[in-house]
Parts: sequence; structure tokens; C-alpha cells
Amino acid sequence: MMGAVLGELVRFTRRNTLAAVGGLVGLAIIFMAVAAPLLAPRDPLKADFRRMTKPPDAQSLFGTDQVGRDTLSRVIYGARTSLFVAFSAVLLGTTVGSVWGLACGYLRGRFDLVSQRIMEVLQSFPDLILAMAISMAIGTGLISVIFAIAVTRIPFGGRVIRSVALSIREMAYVEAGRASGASAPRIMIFHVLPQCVAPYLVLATTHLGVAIVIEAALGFLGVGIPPPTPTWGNMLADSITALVPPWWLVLFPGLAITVTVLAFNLLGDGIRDTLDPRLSPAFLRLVTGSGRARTSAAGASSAASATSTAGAA
Amino acid sequence: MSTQRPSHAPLTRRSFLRAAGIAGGVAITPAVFHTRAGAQETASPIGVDPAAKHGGTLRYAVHNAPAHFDVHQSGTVANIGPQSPMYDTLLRRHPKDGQTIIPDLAWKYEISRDGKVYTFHLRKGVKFHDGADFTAEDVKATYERIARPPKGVVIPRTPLFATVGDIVVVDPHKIEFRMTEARPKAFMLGAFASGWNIIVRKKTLEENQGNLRQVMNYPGTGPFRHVSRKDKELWVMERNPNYWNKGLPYVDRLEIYHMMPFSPELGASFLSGKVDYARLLDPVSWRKAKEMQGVTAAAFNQSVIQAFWTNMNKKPLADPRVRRAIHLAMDRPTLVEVVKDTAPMQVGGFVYPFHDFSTPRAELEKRLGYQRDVKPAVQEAKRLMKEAGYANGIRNLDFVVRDIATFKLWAVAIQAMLKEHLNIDTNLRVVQTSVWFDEAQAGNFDLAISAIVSTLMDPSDYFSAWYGKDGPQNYSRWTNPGFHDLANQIERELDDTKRKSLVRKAEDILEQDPPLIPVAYEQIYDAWYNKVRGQNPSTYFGIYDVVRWDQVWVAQT
Amino acid sequence: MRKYLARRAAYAAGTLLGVSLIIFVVLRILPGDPLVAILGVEGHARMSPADRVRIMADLGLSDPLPLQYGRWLVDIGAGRLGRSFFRGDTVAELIRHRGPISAEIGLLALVISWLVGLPVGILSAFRPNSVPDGVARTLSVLFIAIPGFWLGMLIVLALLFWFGYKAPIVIVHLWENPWQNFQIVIGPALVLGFAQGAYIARMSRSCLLEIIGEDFVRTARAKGVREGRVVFRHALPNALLPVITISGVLLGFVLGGSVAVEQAFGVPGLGRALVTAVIERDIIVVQNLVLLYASIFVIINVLVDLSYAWLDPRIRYG
Repeated sequence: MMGAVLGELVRFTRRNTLAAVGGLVGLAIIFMAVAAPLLAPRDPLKADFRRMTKPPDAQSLFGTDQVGRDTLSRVIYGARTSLFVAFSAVLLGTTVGSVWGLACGYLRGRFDLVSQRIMEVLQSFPDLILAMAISMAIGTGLISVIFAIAVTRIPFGGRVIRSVALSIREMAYVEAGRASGASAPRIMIFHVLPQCVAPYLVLATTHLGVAIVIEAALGFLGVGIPPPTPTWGNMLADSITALVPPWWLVLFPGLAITVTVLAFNLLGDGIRDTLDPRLSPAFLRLVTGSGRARTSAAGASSAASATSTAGAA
Repeated sequence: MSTQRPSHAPLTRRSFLRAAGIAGGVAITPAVFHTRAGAQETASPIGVDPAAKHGGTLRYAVHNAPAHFDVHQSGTVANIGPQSPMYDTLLRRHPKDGQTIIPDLAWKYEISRDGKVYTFHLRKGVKFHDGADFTAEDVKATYERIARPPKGVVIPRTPLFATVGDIVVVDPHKIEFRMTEARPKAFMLGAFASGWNIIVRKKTLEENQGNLRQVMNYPGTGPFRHVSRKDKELWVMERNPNYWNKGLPYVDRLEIYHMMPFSPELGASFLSGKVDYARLLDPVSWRKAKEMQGVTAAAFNQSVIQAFWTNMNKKPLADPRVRRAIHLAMDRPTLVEVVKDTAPMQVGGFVYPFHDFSTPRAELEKRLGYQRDVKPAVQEAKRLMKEAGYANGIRNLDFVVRDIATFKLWAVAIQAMLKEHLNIDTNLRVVQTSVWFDEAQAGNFDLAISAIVSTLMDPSDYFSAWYGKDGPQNYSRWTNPGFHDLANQIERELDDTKRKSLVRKAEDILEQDPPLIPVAYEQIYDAWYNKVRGQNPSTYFGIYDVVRWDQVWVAQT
Repeated sequence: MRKYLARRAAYAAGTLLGVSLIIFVVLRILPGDPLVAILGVEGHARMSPADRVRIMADLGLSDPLPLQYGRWLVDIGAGRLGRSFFRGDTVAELIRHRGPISAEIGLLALVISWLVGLPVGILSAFRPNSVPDGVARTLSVLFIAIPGFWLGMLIVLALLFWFGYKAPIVIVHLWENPWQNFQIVIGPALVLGFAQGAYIARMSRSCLLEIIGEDFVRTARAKGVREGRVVFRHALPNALLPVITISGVLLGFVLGGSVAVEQAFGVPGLGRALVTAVIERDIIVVQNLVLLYASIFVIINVLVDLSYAWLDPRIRYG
């Protein structure tokens, strides 16, 4: 079993070197986030008034901010916040969307019709703007930012899983199950659900990058998680206190966002190519939400990868 | 080019302090205009400068956009900055030094021998921008409002006029203020000369039920008229051709840009020549400006205290020991250092550190809470917390922070100091300037950091406005009978030496039972291209009095 | 075609109604009390009953919700977009003044994305797996990952630091002074345009590669048609359709992205107005601006669909 998994990994790496690199970097960042208390040289909230606005040196590799907090430690803890928000939001949004989509695809009828319209309406908002409005309504803070980003992810999951469910529903073995008198929930759980795992994974990875950028943008605009929690977006916003802000306060948080988004995007592309190379173009457009479910001409697969990560930029 | 001082007064620090003391109302008013008898109306001392050129546009950047338009109700330069050129006051401070009090809409005044009646003779033929005649009724309506605001209106200057009883219109151009009790003349005249107390029309107030918050362009008599405004960007005004002071103003057009104080945007806009005059520059931009050819840079004391308030309605904060502990836990020299690239600050306590009455710096620096070494103060703070029953600290204080770079930096530093020294946990909530003042007024905070303004440097003003029972800027809702008694005595005491010792006594009370926690006192950094002539604020006190631009002209237009 | 048009328009109108309903739900009902959106959770908790009555009455929030919603729709229909809660500036004036700058940025970004993306995509597809292709692909992956607001910050700082340059500080419209206007819009348009260009390059490359693999292209090649002609004459027209689709979609994303990028560049556009309104909790402004952004997004989608129907002879809509 282990061997098989390893073999699969080796094959994946050989075919998708970039994705593998992205995966590794992603893992490293996740590790960094989880092990932040061990890795960070100092407490990210601890001000050191003897070392304020110091450029990078041996004592603090990424320099310190205006109140002497260690930038490296803040970037590391920032990974914690960013990834926690991104993973929770994507997980929540995609799961809610997927369950909803599953129900739509299986139940069809009026429920499906209404749900489809609701999802379409949700998709009519630019992500960042909807997230801003929601976080304004329910107050700023970790939970509301997660909730706000999650809501913007719901329709993507909903529409993809719905179409998967629709196609599986018609397959022979599901028909057989139904004929043998299995209940609807049973069929959904044992026959339809397993088929949704692959597209669910693809969805989740491709949306991680978007979620990270939205979170950072909210912080940058001052409507995200309130200070002093270190987040990359907040750090960028806070760097601007003088005519020319210290370069290390601008450079490192921005680099952290870029590298993380890059890693997850590469991984997402690779996973999509590997998990299901037969995914139809129409399906892919759905995954990534490029609007209506119309059959496009050839080559929409890259439209998919493109739009998936467009997000808040 | 280096910082330019006005040629008429080569300033040393001492003489500057003395000059600044004048603003506090020690000795004022050229005797000329209240001794000279006769009904002949005299012209404004601000005459037409023969060297001055007429015409041109002045582009001036000051603070971000106001949250509302009611200057009387405001406590921020967001209003005074753009709006004051459209209005006049009864008296004003001379732009040459920002100190001397001179006539304005009142060309002459008399003070009765017992100091209880102030009579103002108003200029004739002055017209509001809407064409209406300016009369004593307008002055009465304005001052009734300031002295006794209608319900729902809060005016920070109200305490200045606490002793004003009846305001009597004698004839359309003569008005009397009858005082319930005498105040030092300097104090009262300073109050009448404050840039905040703009004269508005009686009709305007009536039409808007006494609230001008949402009325953008209410008529004034000032040197400039409203032309257009783009919210959060720009306010454009034009020369008022019917201005009563003939020949003024010089510039045809005034463009006032709304830009965040200390922001890179403001600095960059000035340095790249997008504006001619910038106020509230950050030190980095200001130093660059100073080195630039053809640019003058000036620094002067600001008439505000930078502080944070402690809501008395929140249980632990009602205890004076807890407030004193918080006060002592502040490492003030470091707080000044934290914002050094953002704004120039200095350490101070509960009274202006550059005022004659204040504890001298050397003495202050020996006092707990102001020392370079914070250890003894922190030790005392910890003891007080323990005594008050909060040895383990306090959880979850809501700390409202005004959305300006200095306050955001300080909030983080203060949060760290409170946590480290006293184990007090705070949650920062950053809000826009407009929201901050509303929240503070409504008491929606546990701690709240900002800056608030006083009209005068004299303690009698801000001892009631900031610390007085029901003072309009007493956001903590603090009371201390002992202090209020002393403040009353200080208001009445005419002997300077005695006043000074009373002020020191009051200061001791404030140290023990702080109504707010002082953070620092500010200097204002201005810079302008040399083509802007007629204004040098080096000796001004604050940015709320000489703000009308009627005496400023632009060379080489 | 006309019938399709009508149906599509009706559909879009339905969507917009849904959009307005969601905005209403989010801002007025989701917090449980609209004053939470205005005052924040803490402020709301400590508000006095008198303040509450006053603010509710000021904003017309005391009426039953369906009535409020209905009145909002009627107001929009009549072109009354309401006023700022604080200064009484009208939202309509705000949009008239700031809208053009943001629209310009969006359109210019679109043009730049095509000018950059398409040639790069063609070049890549021409010589797949060559060095230029590798460089192009790497760059596009990079540009997709870099957050636009950060890039914007870096550009503004670099210009200021090295050249002492600062773009005009207030809105100058195209018809007032084209050169100054250009200086305002070019920065954000470049940042947004390059990010979109990266998608377009990726998209056009893979579309072209797929089409080049198809029979009719192979036939053309077999007939000895020159490579350039194969690409431009046969493959490109067919590959354009999905590229147009994605441009429409991307333009929608630009709407969201521009909010942060405008902030980074200090451009006083509509996006920045929205951010300030959210921070100030100016509920009427937020409500109407969000509706505007969503409406533009919906309309763009309709246009993309229509252009699609018009361009692709294979698609016939009943």
C-alpha cells in the first residue's frame, strides 16, 4: 500500500515537476504555520523598544517594525493566520457548496432550479467586494473573515458537484441500486459521493490561492482581521507610516503572499491534470467559475486554470 | 533652505515660550482700539500689502476630509482646514505672529470696569455670501449656540463661555455679552478670537434646527466663497469680491486638498510640487522639503494633547489606582521615539509642557511616569494594581484607535506596554476620525486614543474642556471634586504666581487620579514653496486660529 | 437572435434582482440589526435608545423590511441612489465623478492584457517547450500569483524613491487633460493588465496548441501551407473564442481587484470610495456601490454571451 502511494507520488513528480515543487513549498509553508511557535525566533506581538525599525541583521533576519517587533516572526505567524483563514474558508465554502450541489443534482426539480439561480446570483459579485460587504455586516475578526471568504466559494462547489451528481445519477449502477430499492440518501452516500471526491479536491486546491489573496487584500484595505494579529495583508498596510516605508516591511510580507499563492496554484494545476485528465472542458469551466455552463470551444481547460486563480488580485 | 523665522522677531527658545504664553492669555490686545473713542469705524489691522500681487491659485493640502460640516461641533482640523477661509470671527489673532488679538467683524470692543460686560461694535455693510446683511442678530444666534448648545449638539468651546449670561442685541451693529461673573480679560478675548467660533447666519441655524452637520455650504462672511467640493479629494473656493476688508484676499482661487496627515501621499504631493503649501507633514518629507531649493519649512507647537481616555463606566477603570497604574506603565520617551518618522512629538503630562505654568522639563523627567528608566514607575504601577485587586491584570479592554498612522503605532506600543507591565489585555479597534469622535462622545470604548484640541494654552480653558465635570471633551466621564474646586479657583485667580502654584496643585491631583493618560505633545510641520508669501506659522500656537488665507499671496503668477 | 437577446436580457434582469436582494440581506438582515453594520458590534451594544430611534428614523430603517427593500428598488429605478450617511453627498454624484476613472482603468487593463497576452501566447504555441515558451510560461505563472496591490505599492514607492515622481492627486478626467489623466490610470491599468495578460497568454497558448493538433490544421500543414499562415489564418480565429470569453470573465475580476489596486496607487476611483465607505460604515453608499459593481459584472457576462453567439457560427440560439 505504502509502495503504491509512493509509486504514484514518484510518477506524479516525474510528470509534473513544477506541481511537485509547488507541493513541496506548500508543505513547507504549512509546516511553518503549524510549527510557528517553534520556528519563530521571537514572539510576533512582543515589542522591543530598544530595536525599532532596524533593517535585517543577524539578530532579526527580516528586520524589525516601528515598535521593534520581529518581522520574520510576524511573517511566520502570518502564515498561520493566512493559511488558517484560507483552509477554513475554502473547506467551509466548498463543502457547503458541494453538499448543496449534490442535493441539487440528485433531487433536481424546483429545488435545483431555485438553487441554481441563487448560486448564479452569488457568482455575480466580484469576490473581494462581496467579502468586504459581508465582513462589514457581521463585524471584523477571524471568524467573520473566514465566513465572508467562504460565502464567495459556495457557488463554485455547488455548480461543479451538481454536474457530477447529475451525470452519475444516470449511470447504470446507480440505476441498478435504485431499482433494488436503495433509499435516496443511501445512493447518494455510497454511490454518488465517492465520485465527487476527485473534483472536490481539485476545487479545494485551486481555490486556496484565491482565498489567500482575498484575505491579504482585506487586511491591506483595513477591513480584515484587526491588529495586532500578524497577517500578511495587515503587515503591508501597517508598513506605510512615513514617506518611504522601510523596504523590509514591504518586501517580506508581499513575498510571502506571492510564494504561497504560487505554490498552491502550481500544485492545483498539477493535481487537476493528474486526477482527471478526462475532465470535460465544460466541466472545467464550472470548476473555476468562468460563468455560464455553456459548452465552449476547445481549450477551455486553461481558461479553467486561469480563472480559478484570478480572484482578488 | 533652512527654517525661516519671521524677521520681526528673532526667536530664541525662551522668547518663543514667552510669546506662546501670550496665547494663553497673559497680556494682550493693543490698547489702540478699545481706548480710542468715537464712532468712526476703523479698518482691519490687516491692510493691503503694497508689495503683494493679486491673483493666482493657492493649492493647500491639509488633513483628510471632514466627517461633517459643522465647524462649531468639530474638534478636528478636518473642518477648520478647509472651511475657515469662508468665515470670519468677532476678533482674531494677527497672522504675523499668530498671537496678537486684533479686531475682525467687531471693529471695536469695550469691557466694563468690573469685567462683566463685553460690548462689541460690529462692522457695517458686511454681507454674507448669500447676499444677506450681517447683523448683531447673527452674532447672538452664533454665540447662543456655542454657549448653550441645543439638545444633541456638543460644542467643545462651550466651557469658554460658561460665565456668559445674557447676550443682548443693542442695535443691529452693537452687541453686549453680560457675564454672570468676571473672568480674566485675556481668557475671554482669547475665546472670542478663537478660529472655531465662526459667525454664521441666524437664518441658517433656524432652517437647520441648529444642526449643520450635513449642510455643506452655509453662508459665511469670509474672504473666500465655496465653488465646488469633491468629497475626500478637494474643496475649491474663489475670492469673495464683496469681502468687507477691501483689497483682500489676494488669491483668486483656493484649492484645498484633503490628504491624510503624515501620509506618504501628502509628503509626495508636496515634494513633487502638486501642492504649494502642506500642513502636517511627516518628518521625513519635512526634512527633505527643508533641503529643497525654493522651499521653506517651519515647525510650531500644536494646541492639542495626544492621549488616551479611560472610560469611567468600565469597572476596573473607575478605580483611580488602576488609572494611575496605567499612567505609570507608559514609557513616554519610547512612545515619542516610536512615531519619530511619522510625527514630531515631545514628552509631557497633563498641562502643555511648553507653557509657563507647566512643571519644568528637568523636574518632570524626575517624576514617576516620565523617567527614561521605567522600572521604578512600573514597580509602583504593579503595586497599585495589586492594591486595587487586579494583580493578575485585566482582560479584554476595547481599545478604540483613530485611523491615523501615529495613533495606530502608539496603540500597538501601548498595548505591548500594558500587557508586559500590568498584564492588561486590549483589543484594538481602528476607526476613521469621524467615527472616533462619535464613539468617544457616546462612551463606546474602554480605552480610546486620539488627540484633542484646546482653544487657549491657558489651563483655565482645557481644565474645564478636557477635565471639567461634563466638559465636552471629558470622554472618560471623569469627576474629582477636589480638582474641580481648584480649577474654579484658578479661573478666578488673577495673580500669576498664585495661579501657577494652584495649577501645580491641580497637576498633582491629575497625576494621582488621571482623567486621561497623556501620551505626548505635538509639533506641527509645515512646508511651502517660496512663491507663497504672507504667512509663516513659526510662532503660532496650533492650527486652528490663523487659518483664513486672506493675507497670503502668490508671487510670479 | 432577437428572441435570444430578449431572453438573455430578462434573465440578467432576474439575476440583478437577486443581486439586490442578497445585498439587502447581507447589509440589513444578516447583522440582525442594520445598525450593527453602521455602528459596529461594540458601538451597537452601547448605543442609547434615543440615538437608536434617531438614526433609524434618519435612514428610514424603522419601516418593515419588505417595504424598505421595495423602496430601495423604486429609488434605484428612479435613479435616486441615496446619500452618504455622513456628509449628505449623493451616491449618484460620486459615481459620475469617480466612475469614469475606474472604467478607464478597467478598459485600459483589458487592452493591455490583449496586447501583451495574445502575442506571448502565440509565440509560445508556435514553439512549444522552447526557451521563449518557458520564459513566457514562467512569467505568466508568476504574474498570476503576485498580488496586484503589492505590485502597485512597489511601483509607487520605486517611482517616488528614485524619481521623486507622484501621479496627480485628484481626479483629472480624460476630457479635461488627457496627459494627466493618463498618468493616473496607467499604473493601475498596467498592474491589472499584466495579471490578466498572463491568463490570456496561458489561455491562447493552450487553445492554439489544441487546435493545431486538430485535423483541419494538419490538413493545411500537409498541403504545405506556411507555418505562419497556419497559425494566423486557420488556428487563431478558432482559438479566439475562448480568449474572448475569458476576457469577459477577467474584466469582472478586474472589478474586484481594482478596489485594492486603486488603494495601492492612491487613485481616487470608485473602488477607493467603496473601501472608505466600508470603513466608515456608510451603509447607503456601500449598498449602492456593491450593487453597481455586481451589475457591471452581470452585464459583462451578458455581453460575452452575445459576442459568443455572434462570433461562433456553430452556435445558434433558438
